[in-house]
Amino acid sequence: MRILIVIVVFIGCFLYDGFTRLDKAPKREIVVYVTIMLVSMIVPVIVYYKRVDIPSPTYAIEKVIDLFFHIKE
Amino acid sequence: MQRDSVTINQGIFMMLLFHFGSSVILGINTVVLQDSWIAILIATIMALPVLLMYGQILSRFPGKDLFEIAEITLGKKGGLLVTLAITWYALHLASLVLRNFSDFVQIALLPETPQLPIQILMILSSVYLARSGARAIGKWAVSIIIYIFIVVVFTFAAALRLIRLDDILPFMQHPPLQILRASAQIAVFPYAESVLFLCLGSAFPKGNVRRIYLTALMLSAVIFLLTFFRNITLLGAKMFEISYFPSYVTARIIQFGDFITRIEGSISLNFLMAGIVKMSVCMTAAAKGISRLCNLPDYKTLVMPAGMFAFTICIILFDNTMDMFYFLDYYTIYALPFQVIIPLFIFFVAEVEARRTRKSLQRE
Amino acid sequence: MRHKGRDMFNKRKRAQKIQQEFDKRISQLNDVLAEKTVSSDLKENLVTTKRLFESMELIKYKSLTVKGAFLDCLLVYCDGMVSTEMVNQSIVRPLMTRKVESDRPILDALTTQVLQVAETTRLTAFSDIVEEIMSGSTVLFVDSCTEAVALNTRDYVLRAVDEPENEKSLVGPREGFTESLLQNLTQIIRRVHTNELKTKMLTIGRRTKTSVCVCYFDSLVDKKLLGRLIDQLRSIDIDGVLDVNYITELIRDNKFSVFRTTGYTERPDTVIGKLLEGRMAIFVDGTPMVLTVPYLFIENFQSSEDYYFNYFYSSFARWIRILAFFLTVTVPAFYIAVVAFHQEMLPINLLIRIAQERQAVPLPASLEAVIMLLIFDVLRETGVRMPSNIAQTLSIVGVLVIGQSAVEANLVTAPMIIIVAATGITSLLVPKLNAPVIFWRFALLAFSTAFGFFGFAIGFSLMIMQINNLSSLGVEQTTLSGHFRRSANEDIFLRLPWFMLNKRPKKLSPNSTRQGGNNDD
Repeated sequence: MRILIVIVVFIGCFLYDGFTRLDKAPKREIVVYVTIMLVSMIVPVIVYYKRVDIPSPTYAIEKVIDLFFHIKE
Repeated sequence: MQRDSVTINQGIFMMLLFHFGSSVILGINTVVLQDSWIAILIATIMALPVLLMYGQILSRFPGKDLFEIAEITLGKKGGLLVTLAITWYALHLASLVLRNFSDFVQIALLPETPQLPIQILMILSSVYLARSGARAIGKWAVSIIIYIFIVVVFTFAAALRLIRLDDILPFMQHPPLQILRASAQIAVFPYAESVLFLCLGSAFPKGNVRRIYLTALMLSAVIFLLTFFRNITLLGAKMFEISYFPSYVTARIIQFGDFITRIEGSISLNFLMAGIVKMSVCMTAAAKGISRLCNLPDYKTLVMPAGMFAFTICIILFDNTMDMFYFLDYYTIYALPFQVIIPLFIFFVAEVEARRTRKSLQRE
Repeated sequence: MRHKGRDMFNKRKRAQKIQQEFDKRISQLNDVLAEKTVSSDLKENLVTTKRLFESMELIKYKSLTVKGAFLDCLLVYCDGMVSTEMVNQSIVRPLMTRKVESDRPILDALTTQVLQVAETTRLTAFSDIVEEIMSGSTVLFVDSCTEAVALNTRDYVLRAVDEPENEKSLVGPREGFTESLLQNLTQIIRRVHTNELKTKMLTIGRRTKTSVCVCYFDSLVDKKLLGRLIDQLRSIDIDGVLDVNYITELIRDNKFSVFRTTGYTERPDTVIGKLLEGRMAIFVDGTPMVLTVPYLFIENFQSSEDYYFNYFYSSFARWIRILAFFLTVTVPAFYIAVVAFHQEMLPINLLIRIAQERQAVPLPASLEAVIMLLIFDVLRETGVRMPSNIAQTLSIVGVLVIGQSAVEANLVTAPMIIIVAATGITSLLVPKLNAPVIFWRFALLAFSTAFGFFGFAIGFSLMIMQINNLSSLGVEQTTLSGHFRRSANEDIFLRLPWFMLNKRPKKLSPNSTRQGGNNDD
């Protein structure tokens, strides 16, 4: 269900931008646009479908800072 | 047609709402509880030179945004690094704000709704606002500011009946070092995040950037103090400590007359509208960064992918709400390179260059 | 099954080919003839004209001989569009009785010495001649001349000047426009006695060639906006223009937006008021509506009567209208959000009453709201279209039967009737916004049904963002510059007294002093 919502929303954004801006855009812009949108779409689909936790940047940052500073009581 | 420019008052209100945005939700509840007002004051003093530095950077290079300034001062490679760093920071900040808000909405307003549609709605509204340009964000800020002022004044007045002034004591119960750490946290989390406004540089009126930064800082400090004072005297130190969203809890208690009670819905409207401003600014900065990295002329098309990318990060960011509050302490240190170190480099190089050219001009 | 797709593709191609053949035939018919120019042989001209107006039986032909020069000539005119008295007395009679004695070219001599008509135009192309005949001119062909003369003899039946139905006023002038372009322009010129008023005529519409006139004050208008408007009008390519709305939709900035980007009015005093602020007015022949551009968002809430009443009352009335707009859009959504999601916002007594009523009703609150709003819109639309003698009966039917009985039958709750009535009545206060109101009312209701107060907040934010983004002819429709100067806001939320309205809106006109002399600030 969540996967469906994500895919529908992304397709909606593609269509909206396609009709308003992308038809007049240089080719490189379209390529960048599509790449980023595809990446952003695939990650949630994988997370929801395989119920896998992609390592989030938050915990990496916390570990790195823990190496240098001592914050938490 | 018309240049995408913002007037002074629009800039002040935009920045005010930016500061107001997520910090009023997460509350100025720091470890120091009832001494937080001292922390706020010290944070304002700490943030003052930093914000003045931002204003000075923009006034040295009128009409340019942070990425262009970085390329001019630090060279091509330095500019590239700075662009990458600030773009990542903007995206991360946008997703943090989004996560804050969707958690808040789920806890306070709609407990049975999954966070996904809430996040999608918020990110789409911010994308729409960011796509319409900096001027639209300015106009939106002006449209909303009256409502926000009215709500702040109204809740403060309605709370006067129930406050207990004794709750502000005992004064300086916490050790000064702790207060200093709390003020550093406040200085980083909301004040110095306005480094992202440097990325909108071309939209600001020339020569008045410092005034915008200062006025916004003062106004937001006043509002934070008022809000904090209202919260702590209403809730008391213990309740303040255990509640995640103190402003929200306050809104549940106060009542105006006998029939206007439980107005927490309208308070949340307040937060949402300010949060949209914050996310739009972050996304404009990120879109400008990406368009600069890929050498594209117009950034407006890339706002949507930037927003969707922030949405993706947001989904995987934290496992639960408590982690979000846990991260706040780390955020104070993590944000420093983006907020202080990079602009400091740029500032030094710019100032040295300026003095050198002035000296060579004087010599001639 | 496999060939179905190909069949549909072929069908489309066939339809395109048929359309192309039609176009070719029509252009063969008309263009060949219309490209022709007047020839010096009178008989050939007669044959061409008769072929152009082949099945059009209102066109009359009269052959004459010019006295003195013994030249044949031919008069062509359209019966009913010309004043026969003028044709008889001023054209036929002098041609038959007066002698032409001069050595000037025959057409010059005729137009300056014989024909007693004030407006004469020389034409050579048959397409112009067709246009002139169909507008009511009489065209004169003379043997051995390669030019024809069009004589202005227009006289057709028009509606009398009347008070406009939709913009009735309590005080102030009561004249409205009629369907004749010339009469409408006359009503404007009658009130302006300086030469700063300029007009520019255009013809729009391939098959109707409607006359369109752009009016403006030369010293007040922004020339760039004027240029942009004329360019956009010139680029309209459509069969015919029957009403100003055709032009409105073809010169929009945001193509699909529901909000208006041009103002319309039927009253001359409104038009002149707007012209005096630096706007431009577009008149279309055949309709009493007049467009004014550029259009600011606050004009949705202004009416010319504001300036004829006391300033205090006008400011109050304006606030009521703005409030009405926001109420009519948000009230159903707000009610649903409170009743379905945040019941704690209501005071306890009210909450118990509403809960009691909701218990008996089978439908969920939002469905109830949608049904009642649709019923209200159906009733309102019926009230507009039906003959007026059953208007009263229908309103009684609407109120008593539907409202009261539905409540008693427990199909709808009583608060819902109140909500819908409030929504409907406030929507009548802002007639210019009827399109966006309907759209945003249902949109906010949908958001509110799905996500409660949060959805309402998001929907409302989107509406405010869209309003902020509107632009009319490149000029932004809202200026929320944050400056709280008097001159920027004196006519927006309040209507300050006339002695304080010193400046024109800066966006519309570079010449911004309205009163107190022409010194620049």
